[in-house]
Amino acid sequence: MHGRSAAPAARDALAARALGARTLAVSTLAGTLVGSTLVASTLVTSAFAAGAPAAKASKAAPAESRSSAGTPTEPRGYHPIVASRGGETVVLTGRDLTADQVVAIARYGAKVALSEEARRRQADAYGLLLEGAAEGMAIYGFNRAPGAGREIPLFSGDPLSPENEALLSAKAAKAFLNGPRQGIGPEVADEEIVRALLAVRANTMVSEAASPALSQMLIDLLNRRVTPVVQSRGSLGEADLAAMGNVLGTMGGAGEAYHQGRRMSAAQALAAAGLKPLRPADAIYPSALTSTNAFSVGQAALLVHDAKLCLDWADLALALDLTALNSSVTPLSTPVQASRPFKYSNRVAARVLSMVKGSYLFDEDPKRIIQDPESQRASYSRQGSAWKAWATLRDTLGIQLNSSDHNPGVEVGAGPADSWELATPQLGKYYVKGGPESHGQHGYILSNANWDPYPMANEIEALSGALANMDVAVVQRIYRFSSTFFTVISPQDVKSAADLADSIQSDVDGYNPTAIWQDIQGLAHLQSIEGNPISNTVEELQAQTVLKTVRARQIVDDTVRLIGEDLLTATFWLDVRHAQGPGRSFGAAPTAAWTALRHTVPFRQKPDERPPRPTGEIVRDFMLDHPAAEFFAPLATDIDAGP
Amino acid sequence: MNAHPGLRRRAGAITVSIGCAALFALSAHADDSLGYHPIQPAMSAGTVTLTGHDFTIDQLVEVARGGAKVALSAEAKQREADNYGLLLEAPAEGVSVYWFTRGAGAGREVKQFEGDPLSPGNKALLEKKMLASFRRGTANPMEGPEINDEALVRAVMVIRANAMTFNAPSPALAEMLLDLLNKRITPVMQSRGTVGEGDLSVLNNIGATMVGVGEAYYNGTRMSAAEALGAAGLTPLQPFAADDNALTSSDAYATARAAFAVADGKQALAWADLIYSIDLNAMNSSVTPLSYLVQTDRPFRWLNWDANRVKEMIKGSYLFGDDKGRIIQDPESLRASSIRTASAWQMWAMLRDDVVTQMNSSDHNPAIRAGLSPNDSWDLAMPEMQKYYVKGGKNSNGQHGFIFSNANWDPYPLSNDLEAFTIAIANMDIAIMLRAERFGSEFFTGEGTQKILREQGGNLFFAGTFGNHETWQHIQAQITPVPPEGYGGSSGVEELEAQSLLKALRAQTAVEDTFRLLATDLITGTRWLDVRKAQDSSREFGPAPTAAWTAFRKVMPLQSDPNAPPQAPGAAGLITLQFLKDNPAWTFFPLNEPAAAATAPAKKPKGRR
Repeated sequence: MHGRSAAPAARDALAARALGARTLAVSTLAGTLVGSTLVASTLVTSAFAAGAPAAKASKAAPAESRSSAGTPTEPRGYHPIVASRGGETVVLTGRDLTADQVVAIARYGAKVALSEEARRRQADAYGLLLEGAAEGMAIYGFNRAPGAGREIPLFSGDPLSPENEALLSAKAAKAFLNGPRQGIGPEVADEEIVRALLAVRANTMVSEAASPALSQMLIDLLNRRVTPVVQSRGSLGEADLAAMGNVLGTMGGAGEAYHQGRRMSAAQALAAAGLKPLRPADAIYPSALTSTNAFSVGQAALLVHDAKLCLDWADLALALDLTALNSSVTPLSTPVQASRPFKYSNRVAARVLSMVKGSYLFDEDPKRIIQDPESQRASYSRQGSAWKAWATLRDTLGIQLNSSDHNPGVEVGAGPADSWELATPQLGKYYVKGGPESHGQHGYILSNANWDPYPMANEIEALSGALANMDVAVVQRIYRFSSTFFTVISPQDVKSAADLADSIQSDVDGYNPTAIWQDIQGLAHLQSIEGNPISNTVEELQAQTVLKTVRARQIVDDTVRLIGEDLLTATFWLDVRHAQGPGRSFGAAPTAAWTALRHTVPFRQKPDERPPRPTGEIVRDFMLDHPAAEFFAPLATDIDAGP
Repeated sequence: MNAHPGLRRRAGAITVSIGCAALFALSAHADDSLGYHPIQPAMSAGTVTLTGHDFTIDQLVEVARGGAKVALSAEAKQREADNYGLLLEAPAEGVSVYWFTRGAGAGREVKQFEGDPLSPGNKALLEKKMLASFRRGTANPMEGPEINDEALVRAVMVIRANAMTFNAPSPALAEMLLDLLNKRITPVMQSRGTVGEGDLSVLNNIGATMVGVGEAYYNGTRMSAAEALGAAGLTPLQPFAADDNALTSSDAYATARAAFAVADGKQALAWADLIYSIDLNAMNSSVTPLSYLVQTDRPFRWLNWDANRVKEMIKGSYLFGDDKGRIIQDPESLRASSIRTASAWQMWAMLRDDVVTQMNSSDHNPAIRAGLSPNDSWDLAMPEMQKYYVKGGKNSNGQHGFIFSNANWDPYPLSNDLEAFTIAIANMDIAIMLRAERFGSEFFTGEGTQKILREQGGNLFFAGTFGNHETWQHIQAQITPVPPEGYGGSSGVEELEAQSLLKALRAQTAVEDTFRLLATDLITGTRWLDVRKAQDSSREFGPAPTAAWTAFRKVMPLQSDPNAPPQAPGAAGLITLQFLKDNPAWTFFPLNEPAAAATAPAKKPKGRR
């Protein structure tokens, strides 16, 4: 079991520095803190990598392979993926990529292909870009300089004229060389994060004017597992230019990259993969690759995917807690829920009620207290609200993954009749009539603010807040098991001294839940909103989206750990309740989860037979290996994110 | 015609055109020296009928700020009466009821009485107990300062009156709550004393007034509660049964603040759009980011809606004509403002929907449902649930039903969405603050433009001052989330807290500060409209910006009267702030926000790709 430690694989340098107030200290010390408790509690993870999502894929991967990602005692290092779904191909259309598909590509090595229509769209956009310049139109970031240089012409006329092509190729060659120099360390240590970036960009770039060769190279990097070395910092959270610059460098053979998880020069990696470096002439518009939020959006996709697994477990853990405390389930009942019609809270209440259906909680029991402590009673409300925030982000991410976040927008086929403003002189300045480079196609090329990743940036923080407001109930309900004021009986009342001596003692009176909670509290603090006057104050707005996403992912990881502590407590008490009334039933789902966990963490085991690891970590591994979906159908999230 | 008195005072000699009824709640933590702010009951001739199902935020504002009266629908009154009967019947049948036959909090297993509550012994016990409980509810100065906004206290009362129709107040309690509203007896209420779920202390202040203890305002004049009741022709209440629970087990206070945040937030956001359209004209902006094509590239419902709204505001303006001096793209703040405002609108809509659901549902423990039977749902047929089944008898007029302990006091998702709204507002405000500052540089405004501005003279009050930065600092301070906490109160039974009051206060403060930023932005934007007009007198700015600019120039002329006394410091800002509050943006451009809060793909673009 302990071989499956993807959790530790989760430790990446990015996370170590992305801890808000702690950022500087931790990132500075990251190297020396390995193995310390501080680092262990502060890392962003790809914990789910070995577990749930693709439980199928994960299980298909041999334990040995997975352990190569790192074990709890391994030093920090690069965490390559296990390409357990390398035989699958996700077709990118630019319109329907999902978070689950991003995970299949990024975490499990699924391959990608562009749909015919997507390839054509991209080629058409590239043609329109070339034609627009040839027709003398000002195009930001192409024949006009970027940022404060927005009014400075860089070249005029046909970009493919010999003189212009030479100029632009020389610029591209320089951009290749500068690629690995972009950004700020530490390097991203999780291959899946970089692959998520590549996958998201490959899909959104369908809307952009990428040359066919540039487009193909991005696909090739993913499919042949050439994974650029990417720096974790340098993005302000809107337009992840630095990280994308690192990718561009690899495409041109500059800097370093990993091929199939092994580090080497980018040139070597390309060669090992049977690829030739991108020709500068094929990268005369590198902005098509780099003007994007793919770094943060890729991580947001991992966040949405992992948060769902976490929330599914939260619901099941609550069902276990209810049976463990001999709770009064009236708060979940139909009329109570009807009196407060919030969709997701109602949905979670009904779900948890179904989980405990058939349990002794519905039998009469003179020792059952009329109502539980608030944390236990209101957990469904907090969890439902976290689901709501999750659903809101899911919907937003679904659009963000499939829309253009690039400036300028290249709009092939549009004409002045499509909307009133397009027929005005101002918009007419950006109309491409069509010619040889565009194969006669017309359209518009419009400066915009599509790089501003809102509402997603807000909703990532909203999810973090909702998770923290859920977690406070989880941490409190754990501690209530320490008092007979709530449990009514003591374990000693029904379990023999011998049983208890060798029992897996929960951390009821321990520090762990609070330690995890303290970490969550710190992470739930928002990013300060700032506007720093970059580029002569043209670029003075920032969104901090990468930082927001890293924090949210870390809260998800901490929440899994916290629920692990909760499970430890609940299952201990299920054994106690069973001893109290051997005929008691706990409901199908709680019983199945309890039974499964007992295979990993027996109730009785001699101290010298127990693994020399924190029990909470073992429970966490169990949760990652066994998504709650194994025990109860996942929450149907087909409802919208409304109240 | 209700200006913030502090505002009036600080405005000094300025004559401010002060419009309709008070639009803004004051912070409960505002300095008491600012005084009490009674409402102007301009809507007192109207009556809002409370059904428990369809109370709106607009109706709340009518009652709370406009002094409209309230009445219960016949169905709501009957539901309340049926619930009350069920409550009285339960102990007679031996059914345990939290906070009635059982104690509250940690006393949940402690019996308070047994048998029929209407038996002489129990009746006397309960009357005495309830009266003592209500009398203890006087405002505790340690939970101060007092709320100095009458509208807020009225909002609390009307929200409670609506939601209480799901609970079991005695008929006398239910009637007294309506009477306080309708006869304008407004209890002295403290601003603190709640952990954000179950606003017990604050609601207890109302109870004290009902029994004639402590102090209250009658038609805006402070007096003893007994005097206020007497003046209004009311007899002090004799509470009974579980009236303390019926009145106070509610989140009405935080909900009221949240509702004001929604009402005022709507006005701030509508102005944010309109002033943005003024800024675009003022900057001679490139409007390509708003175009249909760019918007269909990112099909977020609220983003597309907002961009289209602003585009329509400036339709017909010179921005769509060719102009050699126009730069290909604006600074980021100006370019992305619509995105940030739209994202704030989206969170606003989510909060709006939460508030409406919260106002029209029960936030009370226990839940009482007359008329339900065990066969209505599988769970109700279980032995555990039947412990709380009241079969029906004389006290309930034969009606049966259930009384269930619950966690309906946990004000989620409202509590989360309050913070999410504040975050979204702040993420909009940074763009507003920055865009106003960009007007200070010809790198953006264009060559020679600053000279025109200086030569025009007039009222120079610009962004980039410390005031604008200070406002932004205040907003920054509001976005730090309130740490979720849980402490072991009441033997650990009541250990979960929601901090909803603090969250609502921050949201309200952020909205108020947003108005301040917008005031500066409006001054700046309109000043530059004058410049753009001086550059070319044929320029049009679009009907909405023109109308707002023209109206604003009536209270803030470009050139001040040379014979008028000098303005007090900050006068321009205060005049502008009042202008924004007195004249909702929708008087200049209609507001038709989407009904749904959720993000959803807009329609696919037609006719291309």
